[in-house]
Amino acid sequence: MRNILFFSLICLFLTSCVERQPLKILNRGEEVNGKMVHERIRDFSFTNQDSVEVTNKTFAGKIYVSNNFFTTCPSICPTTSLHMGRIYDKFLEDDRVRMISHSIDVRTDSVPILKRYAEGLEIEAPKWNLVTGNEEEILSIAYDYFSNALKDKTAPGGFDHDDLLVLIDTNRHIRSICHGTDPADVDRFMKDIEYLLKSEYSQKK
Amino acid sequence: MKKIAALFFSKSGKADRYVLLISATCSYKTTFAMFKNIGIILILSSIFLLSCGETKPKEDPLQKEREQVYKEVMAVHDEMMMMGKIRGAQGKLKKMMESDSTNAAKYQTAYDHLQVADDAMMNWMKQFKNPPENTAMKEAIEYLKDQKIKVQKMKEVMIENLDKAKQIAGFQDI
Repeated sequence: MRNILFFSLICLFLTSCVERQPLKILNRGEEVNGKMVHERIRDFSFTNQDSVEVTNKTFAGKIYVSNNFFTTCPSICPTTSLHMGRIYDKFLEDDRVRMISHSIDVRTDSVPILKRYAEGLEIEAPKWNLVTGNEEEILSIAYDYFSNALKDKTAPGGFDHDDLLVLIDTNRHIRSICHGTDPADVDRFMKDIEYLLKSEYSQKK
Repeated sequence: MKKIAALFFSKSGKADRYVLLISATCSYKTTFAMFKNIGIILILSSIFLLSCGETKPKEDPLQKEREQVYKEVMAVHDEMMMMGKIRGAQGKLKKMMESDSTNAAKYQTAYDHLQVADDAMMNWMKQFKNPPENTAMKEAIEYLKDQKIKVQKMKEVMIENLDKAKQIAGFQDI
């Protein structure tokens, strides 16, 4: 019996020691001079719920979570916002993590409407930015985030109904994605955020 | 390891029988050690039993109907939700109008049809308010049934106008 106990303890040790695989860069990559070069999220400039300009600089030296939504959305957005809220609460005190939600309905979602929505969620910028902007720019940045995330999918173009949350590192690369309507997937995603924090900031110290 | 097996089987509520079964196949010494731990096994298996024995809430047929109608409404909405695509196509048409002024009027008509389709969806979404949890079941079902009629009308308007826009602009797809 003692042997069995000993054996199971060793098993436990072994499984807990298995190291996590690093998070891969999910953007398309090309080999240049023997080095992999990956596409990055393009330059952008949007306006958040406080009428403050949000650009790549807002996220410089930070990792961030990005998604799409619109305030009149009756189906997936409310659930996705709920789970984004869990991420917000969990990393509220950690300024290295930020969030951005792009309204794809720029014609309806003006700054005051975004402000009201933010108040409803009880969230604040600059931690979590609800942004609006030039329609073409919003639609094309959605493509940046999601064409990479969606490259396995056969459905062309459509991102209106994507509940995807995307994790971006300090080099504007996508490192993890999850479905914002699936609580278990969001749990896994939050572990990825913690893991990315460790790997991004341990190198720089 | 056998102890673990016993714990595993205890999920089906037959812990004691399995313990005895395993004990019978083990040597005297192991059996003795096992009975020393039987208290733990019993506690753990009762935890398992308790967690399995949760009574499921009674299914309310009205609740089921409400969920069903809601699903049907959302299925139509999900099928027709293509704001990004429509607005992307409108952007494309705007550029075509600028570069090809002889056909500008034609492209404008296609643009307008897309706008009618977009408005149909936006107007439906803006008026739709899923009844809060505490709404009386019958009232909620009635509201959702009415919304189902509205969302189907919206779908008809959208399909008609998307088809016209595609035809006029010569787009394969929106």
